[in-house]
Amino acid sequence: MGPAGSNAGFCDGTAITINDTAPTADAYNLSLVEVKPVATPPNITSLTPASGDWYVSYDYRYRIWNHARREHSNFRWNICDRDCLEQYEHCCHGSQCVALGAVPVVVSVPGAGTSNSATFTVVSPLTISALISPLPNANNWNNTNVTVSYACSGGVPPVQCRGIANSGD
Amino acid sequence: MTVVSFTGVDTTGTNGSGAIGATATANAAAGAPSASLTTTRANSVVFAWATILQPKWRGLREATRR
Repeated sequence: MGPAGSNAGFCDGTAITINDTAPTADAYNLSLVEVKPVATPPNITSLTPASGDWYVSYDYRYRIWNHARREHSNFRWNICDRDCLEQYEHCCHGSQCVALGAVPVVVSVPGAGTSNSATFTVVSPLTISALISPLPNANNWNNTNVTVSYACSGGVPPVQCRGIANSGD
Repeated sequence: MTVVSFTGVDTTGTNGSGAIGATATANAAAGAPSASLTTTRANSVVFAWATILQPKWRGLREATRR
């Protein structure tokens, strides 16, 4: 075995080149081997914001191999609703849907495993619904004045409901 | 034969094969060789060693070829 050496502390994906020194008359074989450390799963240290409605742009911070990392991502926390109005609401169908309430968020790093679980809370989006009084007759006609009330619910800061607005017709 | 051991390595896989990442070899008939690899995990150690091919071995190999 000839001269040997090692170095440490590189991030993954680092290109390493070893240039050996040798007498010009000698033939050499040079071998390099990467020795990998114990795979430590990432650890989520923060999730910001921790709640939102149908669409959220969020940051999460985690530590892996003693390095702090920050990632930014957009995610659609679609709300499952069988009666969702496709034209007016952000409807969700299939496995990508999440229900209202707590949703686990994990980070997976190839070669290191899956992180601990952080909790994101899906809340109701801001919804405005119209209530008509009195209701129309069987032929769908109203013979008297109709009051339309708009009810607002849900939402997350800074866009939230302030109260109920009424309009007459 | 020289045996080199490391602590804190990935011991997963068959006989600890998880500790081995990228490898590379190079050889030069005369003079210093150069070899490169790209690491696959943060905080990896890259261990390098060189073997001098003795002239008598080269002579034997050449004799075998004949």
